[in-house]
Parts: sequence; structure tokens; C-alpha cells
Amino acid sequence: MVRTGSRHFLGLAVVTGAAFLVLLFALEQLALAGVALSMLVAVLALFAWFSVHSGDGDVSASEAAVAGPGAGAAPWPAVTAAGVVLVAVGLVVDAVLVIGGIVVMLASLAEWLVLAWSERSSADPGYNRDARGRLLHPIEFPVAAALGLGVVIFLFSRIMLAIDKASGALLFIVFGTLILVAGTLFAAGGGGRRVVSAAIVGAGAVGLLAGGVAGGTSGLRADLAEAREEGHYLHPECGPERAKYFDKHAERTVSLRASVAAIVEMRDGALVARLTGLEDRPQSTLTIPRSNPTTIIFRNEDGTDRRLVANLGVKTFEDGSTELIQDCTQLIEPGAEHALTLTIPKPAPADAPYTLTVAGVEGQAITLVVP
Amino acid sequence: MAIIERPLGGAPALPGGASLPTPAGTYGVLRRPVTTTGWKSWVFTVDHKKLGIMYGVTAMFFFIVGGVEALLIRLQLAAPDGKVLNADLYNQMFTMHATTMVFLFVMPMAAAFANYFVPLQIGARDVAFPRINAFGFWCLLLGGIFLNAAWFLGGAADGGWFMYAPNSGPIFSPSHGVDFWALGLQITGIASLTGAVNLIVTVLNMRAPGMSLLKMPIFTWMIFVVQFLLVFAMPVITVALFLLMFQRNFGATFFDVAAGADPLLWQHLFWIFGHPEVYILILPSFGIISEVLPVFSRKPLFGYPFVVFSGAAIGFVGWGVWAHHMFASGLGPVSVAVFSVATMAIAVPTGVKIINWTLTMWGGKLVFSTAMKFAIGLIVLFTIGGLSGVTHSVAPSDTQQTDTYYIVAHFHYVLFGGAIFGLFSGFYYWWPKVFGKLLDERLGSWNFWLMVIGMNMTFGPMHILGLQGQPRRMYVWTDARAGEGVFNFAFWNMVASIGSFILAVGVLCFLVNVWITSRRPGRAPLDPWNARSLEWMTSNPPKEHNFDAIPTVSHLDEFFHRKYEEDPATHTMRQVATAEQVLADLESRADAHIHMPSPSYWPVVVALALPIIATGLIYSHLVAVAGGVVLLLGIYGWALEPGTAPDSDMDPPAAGGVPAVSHG
Amino acid sequence: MSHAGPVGAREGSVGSVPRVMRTVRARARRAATGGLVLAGAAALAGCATDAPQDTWQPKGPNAKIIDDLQKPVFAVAGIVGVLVLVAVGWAIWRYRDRGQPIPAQTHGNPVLEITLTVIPALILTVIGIFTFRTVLELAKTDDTELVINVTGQQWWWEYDYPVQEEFGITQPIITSGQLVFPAGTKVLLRETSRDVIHSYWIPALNGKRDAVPGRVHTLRIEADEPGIYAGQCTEFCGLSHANMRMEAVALSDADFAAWVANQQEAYVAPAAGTLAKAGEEVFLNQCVRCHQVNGLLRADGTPAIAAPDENVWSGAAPNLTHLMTRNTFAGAMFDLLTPACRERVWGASSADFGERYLAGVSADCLDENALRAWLRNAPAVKPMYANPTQLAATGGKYRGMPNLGLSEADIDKLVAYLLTRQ
Repeated sequence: MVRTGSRHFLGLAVVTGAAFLVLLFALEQLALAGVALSMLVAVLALFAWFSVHSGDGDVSASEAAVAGPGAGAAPWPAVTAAGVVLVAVGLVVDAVLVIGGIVVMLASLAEWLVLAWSERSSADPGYNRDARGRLLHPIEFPVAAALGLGVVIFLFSRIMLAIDKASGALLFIVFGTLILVAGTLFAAGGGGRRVVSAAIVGAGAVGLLAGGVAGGTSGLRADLAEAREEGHYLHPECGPERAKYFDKHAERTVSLRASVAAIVEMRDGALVARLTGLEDRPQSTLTIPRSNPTTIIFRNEDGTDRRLVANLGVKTFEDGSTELIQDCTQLIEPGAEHALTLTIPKPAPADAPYTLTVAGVEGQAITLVVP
Repeated sequence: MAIIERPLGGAPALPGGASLPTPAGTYGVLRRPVTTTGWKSWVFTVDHKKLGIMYGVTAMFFFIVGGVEALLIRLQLAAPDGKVLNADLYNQMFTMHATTMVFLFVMPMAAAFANYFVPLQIGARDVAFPRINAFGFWCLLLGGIFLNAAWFLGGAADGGWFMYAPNSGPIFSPSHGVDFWALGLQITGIASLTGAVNLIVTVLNMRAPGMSLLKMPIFTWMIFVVQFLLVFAMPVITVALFLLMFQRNFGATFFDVAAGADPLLWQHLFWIFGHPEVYILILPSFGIISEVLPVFSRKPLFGYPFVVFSGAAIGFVGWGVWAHHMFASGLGPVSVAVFSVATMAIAVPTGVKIINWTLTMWGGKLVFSTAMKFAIGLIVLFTIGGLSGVTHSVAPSDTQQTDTYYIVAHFHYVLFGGAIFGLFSGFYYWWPKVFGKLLDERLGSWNFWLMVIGMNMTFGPMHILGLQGQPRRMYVWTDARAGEGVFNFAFWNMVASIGSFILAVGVLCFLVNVWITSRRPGRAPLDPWNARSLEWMTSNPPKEHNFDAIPTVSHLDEFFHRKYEEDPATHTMRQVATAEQVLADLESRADAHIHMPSPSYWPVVVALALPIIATGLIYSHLVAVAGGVVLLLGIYGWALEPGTAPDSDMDPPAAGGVPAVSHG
Repeated sequence: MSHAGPVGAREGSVGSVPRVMRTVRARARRAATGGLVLAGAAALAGCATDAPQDTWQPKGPNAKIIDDLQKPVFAVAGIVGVLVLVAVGWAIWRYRDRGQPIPAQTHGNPVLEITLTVIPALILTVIGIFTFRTVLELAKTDDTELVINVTGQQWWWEYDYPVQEEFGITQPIITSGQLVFPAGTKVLLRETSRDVIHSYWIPALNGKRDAVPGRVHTLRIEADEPGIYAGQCTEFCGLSHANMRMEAVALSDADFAAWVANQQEAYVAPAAGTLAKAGEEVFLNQCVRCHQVNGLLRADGTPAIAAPDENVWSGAAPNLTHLMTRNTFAGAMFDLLTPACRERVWGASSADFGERYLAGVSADCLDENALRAWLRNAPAVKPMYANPTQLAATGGKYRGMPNLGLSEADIDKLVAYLLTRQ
């Protein structure tokens, strides 16, 4: 007689068989899949046969009298079977699926156990439902919420990464407004409004799903893709501009503005340093403490794009070859500013002082003294 | 006699004569903790009065801890080149002394008073969110324990309570002390925030009929202002502490100069919180003595609306003065000048309070109980502290005085002479209400005078030390900088150290007082002080549901006006009813149905998850994940649990059908 | 208090006169005592001692400006305080419970209230105006004459003098411990820090100003007379914060020129065969890893460049080229001079001061005990993060000077060598 317990194994055997067939046609790793799944089908069918004949796991007649309405419908046999299938498929395809399957199986096992316990705890189905909820709702709700949120975030992020910045902002506003409207309608209650708000939520869900899939397949928007290729956050060497999207506006950050040791200014072909505290007395020498991160702002008041270069000596390699040690700002347009943070661990040799120069301008230099 | 209801209905009859299983049998550990006696009735309680007492006991414990730290500091500094503590231990000591006194004593003690008395003063039966209230308490206790656990795990925080970056970073403070500090304060911060939201909602929604905002007792008013300060200030320090935590535990560079950051960011964040925090500490005590002074002057508070609005003004202007803690940090002259003037401006509403307290006593009939003495002590000492505050609101002088003992003197006059004297005033005033026993007045007198003498001896000389140029936070001072003559560093430091022990004996008197009076037979009379506000219009201690009938309010000082009427001829007051008569009148119209919230496991479970997460963040992220799971489950368990337990959680009604069991 | 009964529950039964009188007398006494705290603080701080860091004894115009502002403010605060305390004392005495009836329940007097609000507001407005003016005056930088860069690190200060020909500074001078500058000259300090926040404070010359890493803050100082002025780091900066001191030395213009000239003198190696020459070798083997001596050459003739950036977290160690021209070492924590010689400098009149200071540390005046203890085991005499087991966070770099494990013989040699660093 097919009852509670045996039903489980029969279901599993059938679903596993179906998975086997799918694998057979969809994938080509027949050998492994075939062996694993046919073994599983066999074992499960055997268990089902045992179960049918022994009646193990069935609700007995005496228990049924107390249990009143008895066991109701439950999704857990089917979910467990799905977990088994996941494990089986995962064995062939990917280890992640195996872990997923095991998690699904464990979760449904727990649900199943608690359901079985609660259905027998009294004759009152309402009371039984309450007992089950008390134990499981604190787990079910957050997991469901996390899964749901995860899906929403994932889909939304696909959309936002795919469309351009301006549309992104617009979409954000539209989405926010929709959520607000739907939430307000929900809170206000009322039959008709509930239908409207449910419709909004439904439409939103469908839109999100469609947009997410579309965004996911179309890939990152152009500038993000480019920035990723360029190494967005790396400081470029003192050469031609390599990065279009390098952060041009570092000087606007409050911290750099507040922390400068000096402003080095290129004006009318002359280079001067204005030290913090001595802004009105331009200097041609800048003394900075050794081993101390010191921020200098380069201000270009010249007619053309300029770049400040710090010449910090020569590095000699073991094979005798040498390389200039330089650091520099971006090439910046007239009227713009850019910050440069220097940390100089050792003083310069007496015969070759460190200097600040502007690329392409001869004869203008600020001596960097590191005592 | 009113009845606290549980849901009605006996065991439902089942077909076939079977009966439902008992709640204990079915739910096992999942049953709600509905017992009314034993330790469970405290641990799982949501009663604002029990929580208030637990807040108070916790705070008192930490007061002693912080006090011992202070005594060690004074021992170390009593003589030049002290050898009691080494540099490392001293730095931990002064950091934890301040942290403990601010976050684990004064704030929770104010919360204790607020929890206990705000619902009583506004004629409510509990706060708006009783389980959140319980959760707040457990956060405080566990956070406090967590903070101090660092002592035993490699050393406590050593960066000063202001914890300036970058000195608080992992390079400069390599022990886990600062981690424990930052995370512990996050946990206690949750207590403050939840408590604040709770009390704001309670005050706005649960006042007795007739009690308009301007008929609200002044203590409740000050607490109300403080809760708004907390709601806005705590998020700021939370953000700052998060930045610090990420800097230390996850390699972030928020304060790392080499990465382009500015360490002054921390100072701004800290003091945007830190200055309102000062008012968070002092306003509850202002509220307490604004209750005590009228009672013992037999006169209403002079200029009640002025006191209310000056409190609100302090709360508001308090946001615009944070940078006066940073006059020396290089803000630029315009900011310094503006903040300097703003700081002077805040002295005005504070002065208003002093004036009003003095004028409350003026023309009164003063009774010098211990509570009154502490209240007058607050006026005097706070005035001194306030005026020394004015001297360094002047930014140029502040650059000479800041980070010297002059500042230490100033804020101890304000916080010890102000906040703590107010709290002690509250202890003596409300003790009979809470515990049904009067504290001994003779010991109280010893308590008061020793504290006054000790406090002035300890902190008075610090003014002089500061002006003589002794900086703060130095684990030793040397003879080379002590000056010549008798009245040099050596003399004043010794006086301060002796004073600190006199102060400690004064506090000890209070503890002895509590112990002795708790063992005395007899109960306090119903209205020992001839009080004025609603919390006295119920039994001592109050019943679980506070009031049998919610009184309808028609006056500020409602209770007083039910006892006294003005004699139209002489304009003096004459008694028309005793307190007992007023109470009997109220009880004769007891409410028939009173619903009280049920106890719950979840606040404790959720609170317990927090230190687990915090420990995990320091030692192993796996533990943090485990704590996170507990937290998440706890929150959902809580959210899905009804506020009042359903019938199935209750024991079956006793035979005869009288629902005699209360839960609350 | 005679019994523990409910005070005031029954009017009259409690307020027995003698007890109240006792209380009132005591209270009046206390009010009087309390009222004197501010005034007392002022008086005692001002005249009872001669503390080197006294904030009420300005020795230069900047500190004087502050002093001129703060003294009236203290006076106003004191007067207001006494008024309030007298009012409280009077109320306590006059309105104590003498059996009078409960007064009418009056709720205040708005006119009085507003008056008493406006008066302090007016007083504060006046103070505010003067404050504003003083703040802006102290922030001026455009009239300063000499610029000195001041860099703080755990737990000492480094001073470097950029080239300023008008003061005879033709090559950068770098020193530590004592800030030397000409008296009567407006000096601009440009402060920064290499690690945590420190604060530069010479109370006799100006208020304090924090040295914040990554930022440059300015502080103007000027001394009226030649002399030595004590100071102390006042922003908590970690373990040895208490031991981070400084001394500011004002010299007459001529003496300052002599000091500058001495600081720029070329290096003279000790004569071969002397103990000092052996000390130079020890120095080259050990100390030069962090400490620079300008002009010092290695045995192969190459200049010995110190590499504190490889060994110390802050990346700096005091330059020892002219150690013996300074009277202190290790963040001005220890004296190089014997107590008697120190007193000769600190107790000098402004006329004698320059000569005595420029004499430096002679062999007779050198207090070897502190120096030897330092060389023997520095972390034992000044708390520092120099224990190799605690250096995981800094990647093995020290914060402070480690124990070098020098032999007594090496210490003898080093002391002899350092004594030549005049």
C-alpha cells in the first residue's frame, strides 16, 4: 500500500529516472552519469519496495485517532528528490551543484522532521500549525528573505552595470518611486488599491527579471569594461596619458585640500612654490621632511596642458644599468589642479639635488630639500 | 482591585473527551517564560521597572570599576615619577576610566532613572516597546562586559576615550584593546539608540489624559531632550567606530595619510558625537534636581517653560560647538573664532538653568534632606565648572589650557559635580519609591559631605595644576617641570590624590547606607517627601502595572495639587488630602482591564549574539558568522512572536475559573 | 541629621531649628569656600610657584596677547561665580524651613527671567568680540621673519631650518630636542608629524598647536628676551607621551649667528688612535643605521647615509651631528648636563644666557649616567615599542630606539665619540 513513507522513495526514483533521461540526451558524459544515476535509481527503487511492504513510516491506526486530521499535503518529498537529482547531476557537471543538492536535502529533511512532529502534537490542526511555525518561521522567513533579496540585488545590479550612468540615475529614481507608491498603497490597504499595488509589484518583478536577464547577457557598459582593462586605480607612470578614466579630480577631495604642504604654481612660464603658511611669499626651494608623506598641489596657470614631475634621483641596478626615479601628476588643462604625494626616505646627494620640474619647460625648477 | 488579564477561555473541549496537551508539555523550551518569580522573572522580564533596577545595578557596578581605575591613576600621580603603574597600564587606565564612567556609568544610570520614572511620571503602564527595552539593557550589560574583557585578553584600549586616529590604528595600538573598545561601544550604542527611540515614542504617545507637553514633569522633559540628542548623536559615533573597526580589522585606510586620508576626520566625527554626549550626560541630572528642588522648596520650579526651552536650546546649540574640542588641532582662524563664539552662546541657556534653580529656592520653605543637599551641591559645583568652561570657550586661552589638568578640573566639576551629584540626589529622592525603604539620612549626610570635600580636594587643585602647565594623560610628571616653592605640582598632586580617597570613602558611605537600610525592617511611608509628580501617586514600590487607574492630569505637579489647595486669603497652600487619600481615591476607580506585555527570551538571545559577532570579528570570522546566524534567527523569532503571549502559552486557569495568574 | 525619618513628611516635626542651623552654617562655609576656588586658583597659580610651564607667565608677545585676553575673562568668571554663590547661599539661609507656611505656587517671573538671560548674553558678546580679534591676530603669518619646520614623531621633535641667507643659513640645518631661535624675531613654525598627532606647546611663548600627519600647521612664536623655555607634547601620542618634551632656546642675534655658524661647520673626524676614533667606528657599525652625522665617512671613503626609513616606523631618528650643542637627548627627556651645569644655563640672566648656552656640553659638564643608561638599554629607561616580539604590526620596524646590546667597552668609546659632536 502506497502511504506516507513509501511515497517518498517512489517519487525519488521516478524523478531520478527522469533526470537520467535528461542527462542522457542533454549531456554527453554518458558513462559517469549513467553509472551514478542508474545506481541511484536502483537503490531508491529498492528502498521504495521495502517501504511499501513494511509500512514503515506510515501513520498507524492508533496514532491516526489522536492525530485527528492526519498528515496533510507537503512539498518536502518532492524537494528532497530534487536535492538528490541535484547531487547526482552535480557529480557529473560541477561540485557546486553537489553542495547545493546536499543543502536542499538537509533543509527539506529538517522541514520534514518538524512537520511530522508538529502534525502529531495535538488534535487541533491550528495549534499544530502554530507549533510548527514557532520553531521554523524564525528560520524560514530570513532564509526566504535573503534568497529573495539576493535575487533582486543580483538582477538589479546586472541592469545597473549594463546601462549608462545617466539612465542609471533615472532608473533608480523610477524604481524608488514605484516602490514607494506600491508600499504606500499596500499600507493604505483597501481591496481595490491592493489589486493595483499587487499589479505594480508583479509588473516590477517581471520587469526586473527581464531587465536582469537582458543586462546580464549584454555585459558591462563600455566605460566600466574599459576601466577594468586599464587598471582604473593604478597611478600611471610619467609618460603619455594611458588612462582616459584616471581620477582627474583628486584635488577636490576635502582631505587633500586640507593637507597640502605647498601649492606649486606654473604661471606665465615661471614655476613657484607657495608654502602653507607663507602663501604670499613664493619660494624656489621647498623643504620637506624625509620619510613623511607630503602632499603638493600642482596648479597649472599656464596657457597649455602641463604636468609636474618630481625628479628624485637615479636608481642603479646591480647590473650597472640606471633608471630615473620620477613621480608626476596628470597632464592637466590650464586652470586645473592636481595633487602629488611624495614620500622621500633619504636626502639627496649634495651634487644632485631633487627637483620639481614641469615637463616640456626648460630652466624652471624648484629645489626639493630633504634634510 | 484591578486584574491583569490573560486571554480568557478554559481548555477547549475536544471531540471524544481528549484535552489539549499543556503548554509546558508541548512547547518545551519554546514556551514563553511567563513565570513571575525567580531569576527567570528578571532575565526575561520586559517590565520597565525591573529593567530600570537592572540598569541601575549594572551602572553602579561599573561606577565602582571606574572609580578603582581613577584611584589607581591618582596613586600613580601622587608623587613624581610614579611607580604604581607602567606607561602602558596607565594609558589603558585613563582610557578605560573615562570610557567606563561615560558609557557604562553615567549614561546607563540616567537610563535607569529614565526607564523607571518616565512611564510613572507620565502615567503610563510601561514603555512603548517593552521587549526592545529589555534588549537595550542586555546590550548595555554585555557590551560593558565585552569592553572590560580586554583587560584579561592582552590589555584594554590605550588610546584615550577620544581615541584619536591614527594613534588608534593597528600600527600604534597593536593589542586588541582598541578592537574590544570599538566593538563594545557599538554594542552599548545599540542600547542607547533603542532606548532613545523607545522613550521618544513613549513620551509622545503614552502620556496620561490631560498631560500636555507643557504639563509634563521636568525630569521627563529633560530625558525627552536627551533621547533626541541620542538619536542624532549615536549614529555619528557608530559610523566613526565602524570606520575604526574597518581600519583595524579589514585594512581600510580612512585615517591613513599615505593613502590620501586626513586623520582630522576622526576628530570631527568623534566630537560631533562627543559634544552632544556631554549634554546627554548632564541633562538627566538637571532634570533630577529640577524635580528635587521644588519638592524640598515646597514651590513649583521657577520658570518651568524657561527651563524646558533652555534644555531644548542646549540640545540644539550643542550640535554647533563640537569644534571647541579642537581649537588646537589647526582648524583655521575663522572656524576657531566662530566655534568659540558659539560655545559662549551655549553658556546662556545653561546659565538660565542655574538662575531658575536659585530662584526656585528663593521664597520657598527649604528642607535640607540629603537629596536636597546633593541638588544644591550640583548648583554650586556646576556653576564653578560652567564658569571655568567659559574661560576656555575663549579660543586663545583654550590653546593654553586644553590638554592640561585645567580641562580635567573643568569637566570633572561639570560631570562629577554636575551629573553625578544629580544622580546621587536622585538616589536619595527616589529610593523609597523604588525599593520601599528610606535611605538613612545621617549616613546620607556623611555621604554628601565627604563627597563634596573629596571632590573639591581632588578636582579643585587640578585647576591650578593645569594653569601651572601640567598636561593631561601623562603617566608621570617630573620634578624638573614641577616648579619651586611649596605650592608646586608636588603639593597639588598630593592634595588631589588624598582628595580622591576621601571621595571614595564618600561613595562607600552610600553603599553602606544601601546595605544597612536594606536590612532594616519597616517600609517607607507612601509620600515621604511631600512630592509633587505622578510617580508618587502609586504604591511604594509600584505595582507591576504602575497604576490601578490612569489618572487624569489637570496641573503641572498634579499630585501636589491633589493634596493642597491655595488659601484665597493668604495665598499660602493648605493641605486638603493626604497622599493615602489621593491614592485610595484613585484605586477606588480601578480599571477593569489591564493588558501587560509578556516576558520573552528573544531580547536576551538577540543581545547575546552581538558579543559573539564582535569576538568573531577580532579572533575568527567564522565565529562572527555563527553569531550572525544567531542574531538573524533571534530577530525573526522576535518579530514573529506576539507582544502578549497567546492563551496556549499560559498555564491552564486555576480551578474555579478565576484568572488569578498575572504575567507581565 | 539625627534620625532617618521621612524629612518633611510632616511639616514642622522635622525641621528642628538647631539641626537646620548647623546645616546652614556649614553650607554658608562651603559656599564661601567654593566661591573662592576660581579666585584662589588664579592667585595661587600666578604667584605661588615658578613652574617652567606656567600658562600665566608670558615671555613673548604672542603669549602676552593670550594672557591679556584670559585674565579679564577669569576675572569676569570669578565675579559672576561669586555673585551666583552668594545668591545661592542667601537663599539657603533666608528660606530654610523655619515653620513658615507653604508659599504660593508661583510659576516664575518672565521679566526677571529675560533680564537675567540677557545680562550674561551681553557679557559673553563682549568677550566674543575680543576673542574674535585675538584669534585672527594670532593666526597671522605674513609678518614672520624666520621659518622653522617642526616635525613630530614618537617621541621626539625634529627641527629643520630651510636655507635663509638673511640669518646666515646657507645649507639646511637639522636638529632636535631644543628649538634654537633669535629673541625678538617673529618665528613661524610649520608643524607636521610623521606618525600620530602630537602637539607643540611652549606655554611662555604661545598656545599649543597640533602637529597632524599629512598636514602643515603654523604657529608663530617670539621671545622677548634670550632664555630657555620649557614645553611638552600635549596631544596624547602613545606609550611615552609623558616623555616627549621640548625646550625652546632664544638667543640674541649675535649668539644665534654663532649657533648657526657652528651648526654648519664641516665634520672633523676624531684624531686617529683616540678613544673617540674607536667610538666613530662603533657609531659606523651600529648607530648610523638610523642616526645621521653629517659629513661622516665610512672606512672606504663613501658618505655614511643613515637609513632610518628601513629600521624605524616613523622613518626618522635624531641627527647627531651636533649632539653636544644641545643640552638634552631622547626627546628632551634626559639631560646631558650635570645638575649643576644645567642650573647654570636655566638660572642664567638673559644677558649671560647666550654665552652659557653656546658653551654646549663640555667633558666636565657631561652627565654620563643618563647617556650610558640609554646606550646600554634604551627601552628600559623610556617606554618604547622596541621589543622585537611586538613589532609584527610594523613589519619589524621599531618605534623608538631598541636595545643594541652594546658592550661596556663600546659604550665608553661611543660616549667619547659623542662628546666630540660639538
